Amino acid sequence: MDAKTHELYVDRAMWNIGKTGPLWWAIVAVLGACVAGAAYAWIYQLQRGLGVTGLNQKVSWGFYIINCVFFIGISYGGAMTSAILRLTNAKWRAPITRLAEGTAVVALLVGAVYPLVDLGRPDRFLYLLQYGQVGSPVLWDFVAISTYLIASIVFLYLPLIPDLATCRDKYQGTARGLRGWTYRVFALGWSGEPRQERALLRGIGVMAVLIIPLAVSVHSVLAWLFAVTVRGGWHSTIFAPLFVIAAMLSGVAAVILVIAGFRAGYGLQRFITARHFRYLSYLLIALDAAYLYFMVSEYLTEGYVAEASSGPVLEALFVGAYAVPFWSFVVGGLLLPLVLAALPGRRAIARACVASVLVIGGMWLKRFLIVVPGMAEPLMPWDWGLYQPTWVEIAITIGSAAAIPLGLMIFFFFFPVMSVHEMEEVEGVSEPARPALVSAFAGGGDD
Amino acid sequence: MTRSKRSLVLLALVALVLTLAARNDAVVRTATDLLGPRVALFLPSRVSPQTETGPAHAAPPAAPAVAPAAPAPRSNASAPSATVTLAVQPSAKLEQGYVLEARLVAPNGKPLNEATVRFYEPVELLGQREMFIGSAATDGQGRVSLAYLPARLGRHEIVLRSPARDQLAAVESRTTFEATVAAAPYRPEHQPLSAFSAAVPAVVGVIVLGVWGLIAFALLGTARGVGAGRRRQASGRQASLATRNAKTKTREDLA
Repeated sequence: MDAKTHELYVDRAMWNIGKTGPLWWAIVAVLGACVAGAAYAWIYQLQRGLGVTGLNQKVSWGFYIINCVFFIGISYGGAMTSAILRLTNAKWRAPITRLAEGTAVVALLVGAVYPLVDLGRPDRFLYLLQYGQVGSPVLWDFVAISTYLIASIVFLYLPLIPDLATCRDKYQGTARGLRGWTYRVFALGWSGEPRQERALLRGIGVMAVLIIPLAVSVHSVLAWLFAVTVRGGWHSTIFAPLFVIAAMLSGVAAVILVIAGFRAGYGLQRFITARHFRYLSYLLIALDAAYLYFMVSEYLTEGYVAEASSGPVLEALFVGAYAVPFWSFVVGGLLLPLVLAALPGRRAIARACVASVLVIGGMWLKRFLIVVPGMAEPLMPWDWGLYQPTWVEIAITIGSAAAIPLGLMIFFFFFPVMSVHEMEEVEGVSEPARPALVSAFAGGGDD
Repeated sequence: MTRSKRSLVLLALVALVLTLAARNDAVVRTATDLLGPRVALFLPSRVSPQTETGPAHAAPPAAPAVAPAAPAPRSNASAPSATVTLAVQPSAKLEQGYVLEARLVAPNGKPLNEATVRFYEPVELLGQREMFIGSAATDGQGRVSLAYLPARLGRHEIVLRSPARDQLAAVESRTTFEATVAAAPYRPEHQPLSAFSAAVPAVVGVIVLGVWGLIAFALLGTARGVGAGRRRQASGRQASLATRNAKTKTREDLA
């Protein structure tokens, strides 16, 4: 990268800090209104109890648990994308790692709130600490999610240290108060000394290695929350890897959408190019195909035996009450994105974004199809349970979805949107030759 | 109004609010729920002690309930009371334990039939309590019996209570006996993989601690390394400043 491009890179990475505009405020206002609506719905629920939701005696897990699994999954994808790119030393990672890590932390914060919302009485959360049972997957979840949250924040923070120092030096005169203090204190006196570089690289390396098994464990534990029960459609040995793949798939899709949004909004087109989207699309294709394989394997083995517990659930999914959402998920959320991302041709970014939207919608639907039919299936000779979400659950879901871009916009109001230090680290390294498979899939140049 | 008067008025108001709150069942329940049962020690008891209403059968209950306090017999000091004879006999079959036998006779010498009789045993469980053994009704001869297999060997005290009825006052009688037969101690069924699952929490705990240690190592190690680099740079700057000063001084001396 020549000096001029470097200068432009630093400029674009820091352009967003402390700057707002009419569009920024408009988006923040819309997203903030959604979050405020969710907060109102939660307070309404706190005042009146869980009776205001569609949850009932038979289907006691609904949107809240679906969203918890879904948002934590998105977080997982962000962390994994960044960690894998760091560990494989992918040279093209520099402009997107910060966005991926930020997405991971914000989505995890949103997802981690849902168990509290689902409790109805959040003060009873303390009972988990007071009377937690070691044999309970709920306690496992608490330990895994809290550990993963801390690790994600550290993983976001460590690569940020040199950039905080850059902010400290750049905004020495202008950034006062909390912002200036934050830059000064959290930069830890970074000056780019070789010893500091070594310490930083070691820390990031440890975290990049650690974050992968941590993320796998979190989603495995979430899957075991379902799989260790004897409910039909849940008690499956393949659930943990299936959840992990699903989380990675939805997470990579979310990263694609986030980088597309910030690329357009923050003018990063020169640094986040179609190449990034194509590479992420390959990841999407691989994960989509893996998920398809795991899912077919699960349904084939369960459907062939058709045990008393799982048979009715599979029937409800394939040809019964849940057939429409199920086949919509298979076609719209798995097959169509696979085709869109894999087809050669131009408009790689648009295709990647459409595929990501479909994947995210599909994966949410899939979580719905895991949670609700599994709960609605009668364990005793009664009717199937019925679940119809109310406006409270819908408002909280929309608000939490809006909280992710809002959180990212606020975060990048204070911190660089792209990693300057990381770009400098890989500066001057020539681009690797395209593998044959890449050109076969990509089919064309950047667009 | 002086400051001390204001303080007194404020104190009185706070005391009034607290008293009113403590008299409110909902507030007491919520406080007990949130702060735990210990808070109940500091609050006036508004909930009457739970009384056990066991089935009126002659067989011993599978798991005797433990009540914090026995139901107090209805007091009617002026009314005459029945005569109670309470005894504990070994059961015909040794392994079945004992039979609690009692006979209730009215003051006029007639046996009391259809009188409800409850048997309790004082136990020490988080303080003095009475364990409800069971209840039964007297027959036409005023007799009642209840099979009882104690949970432990040794001395036992049995309390009999019968509520007031017709013109008769409630009665209570006690007796003790030395149990030489007791129920076999509970042995949990063998759980598959129990030896393995007992070790799992410790292993998982060590893994979790290890992960937390690694996170701390990454964060603190980086902070330490970055901090050391800063100190080194600062000391380097000081050293160069000292060298420059020394050079200047030498130059001045030479001049």
